[in-house]
Amino acid sequence: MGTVVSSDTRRRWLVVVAGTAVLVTLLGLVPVLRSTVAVGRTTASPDRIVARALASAGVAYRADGESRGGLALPDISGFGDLATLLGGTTRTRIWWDGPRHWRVDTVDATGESDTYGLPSSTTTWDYGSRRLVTVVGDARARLPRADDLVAPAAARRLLSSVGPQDRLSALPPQRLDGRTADGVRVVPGTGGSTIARADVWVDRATGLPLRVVVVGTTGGDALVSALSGVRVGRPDGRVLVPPAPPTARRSLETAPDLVARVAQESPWAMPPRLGGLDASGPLVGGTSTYGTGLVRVAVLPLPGRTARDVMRNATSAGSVLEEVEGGSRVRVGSSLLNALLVRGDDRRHAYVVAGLVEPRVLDAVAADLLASPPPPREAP
Amino acid sequence: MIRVELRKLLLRPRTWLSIGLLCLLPVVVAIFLSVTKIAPRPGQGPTLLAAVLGNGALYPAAALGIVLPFFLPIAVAVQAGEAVAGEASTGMLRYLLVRPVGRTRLLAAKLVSILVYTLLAVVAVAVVGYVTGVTLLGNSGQLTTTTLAGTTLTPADLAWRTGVMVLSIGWSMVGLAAISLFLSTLTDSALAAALGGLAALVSSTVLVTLDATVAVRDYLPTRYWLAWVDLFRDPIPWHDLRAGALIQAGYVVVFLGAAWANFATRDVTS
Repeated sequence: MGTVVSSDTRRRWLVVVAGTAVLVTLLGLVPVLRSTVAVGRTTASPDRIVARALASAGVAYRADGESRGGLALPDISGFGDLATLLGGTTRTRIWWDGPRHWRVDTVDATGESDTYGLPSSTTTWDYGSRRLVTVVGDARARLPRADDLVAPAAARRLLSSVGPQDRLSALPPQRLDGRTADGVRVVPGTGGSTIARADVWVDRATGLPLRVVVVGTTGGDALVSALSGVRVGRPDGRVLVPPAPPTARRSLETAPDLVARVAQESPWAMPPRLGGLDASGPLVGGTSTYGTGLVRVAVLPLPGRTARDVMRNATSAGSVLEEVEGGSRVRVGSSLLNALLVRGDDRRHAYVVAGLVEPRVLDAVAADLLASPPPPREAP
Repeated sequence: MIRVELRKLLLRPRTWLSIGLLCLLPVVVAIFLSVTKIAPRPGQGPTLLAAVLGNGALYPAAALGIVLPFFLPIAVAVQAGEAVAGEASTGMLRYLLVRPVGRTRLLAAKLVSILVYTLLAVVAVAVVGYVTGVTLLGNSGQLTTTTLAGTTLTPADLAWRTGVMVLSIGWSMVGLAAISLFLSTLTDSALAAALGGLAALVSSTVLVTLDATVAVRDYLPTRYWLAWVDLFRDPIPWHDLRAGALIQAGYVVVFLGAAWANFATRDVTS
């Protein structure tokens, strides 16, 4: 009797265990098999892959996105959600009809913040604050937004700054979310960058960047951004129209954040060379950029009062104020992005100096700025 | 057999007492909100609670958001944990099995009873939430209900989305019910079975929040519990709702199978 029962028990458990094993195997193996299914070799050179990615801004698509930043930046008042954006996981939903007609929703478990890109403005609806903010025009400089970290936008920004000294190499093609993607690796050609390498996978059919992985010199993924559920084709036009909720607080602005505001008012004529780096962008107002390729430094002049507030916020967040020749500075850094807040002894000259570069590069730029403060900008 | 179990469920005072207690918290919250007119800041507090002042039609969703994290799973785990172990602990299981019914049928009847209880609880919270919301928090009668994306919801939109939400939340409890039911076949202690189910719930809730568990996170039972919030986005992203329904189905198949394998050949001594 006992034998009959135990054999029946064994048979039943065998069915359950086998069924569970099949289920788990299917769930676990199917994604792996889909990603490793034979992918035909590409004939495109790394330069060609980069060119296709850079030309993909007009590819219309709908997708979900996820970006994961590993940058431990301090949360400084006035710099919005920068620390969260670059130091956490951001989930997005994207409807892209072109560079001047798109929508990116940043979603979390209980709310969302939706940004609509329109030909002459950008509108953001934030469910949390029930605010509808329209920013007219394109800011010369601004803080990063969630839509900047969406894989295609991040990849195009990264690849557009690659210089002739940086090295490109092909990566084995992969299947990403059911699409064949050609990979390209970028390695900085000169010292000073905090980027060890950046890998970009580009959809073979459309040129759309599907995945970006930036690895810092300290090791580990500093930024990973990827698309999933990509559907190529124009999104429904109704989705791209900003909402008009009756109870929303509305505002119309010309600068979306602190950086954009101070960039509009920059009073200094910046020099053509700083810290051994040549200027690589316009020097008239706004943010000036120095360096080439992946070793680039942005210099944003700050009004004196703003500089004092920002430095106070930074020291409150744990950064240390250092007295140096010609002024003072506060270092804010992470494994990938470093920044210096610099203020001259005259209390009038102050700057944010930032880049994906080693601190020594920023120190050299800051030293030049403090040693030779730029003269006032001439009225146009 | 199913009819017997359902009659037992519906006639038992404990069923209605537990459902009443589930409905009580949202009512208390609504009273505080209506008296003080102080809602949580948007993005804080229970889901959608910030949007209910002057818009009571949205309160069923907020009410379910209030009970979903703790009270609803506790009620379901207790009900499922009690299903077999409760009968065993009172010495009734032997007498139940004396009747000319197979153990598999008894288990199926218990599962149906748990499903009905879960659906009853969710519907009750939604209905009480609606009545409480419209009565205490007001309903302007205008089309002022908005999605998380800021677009307007018509009453018809709100009605069908709330209906799907009720079904989605009800189904999201089924995996937990299956785990507790399986544990209920392992022990004669209903409390141990319920606590085991809740331990699985807490473990899953903790693991879901960790980036380190990214490889298995999507398969955890609570991974998509908040996916019903997507019903209040525009356009509705169906992916997580579909994935959540499938994951729950997987847990039901596995743990109900395990419960069947164990219970069908188990020595019943009490």
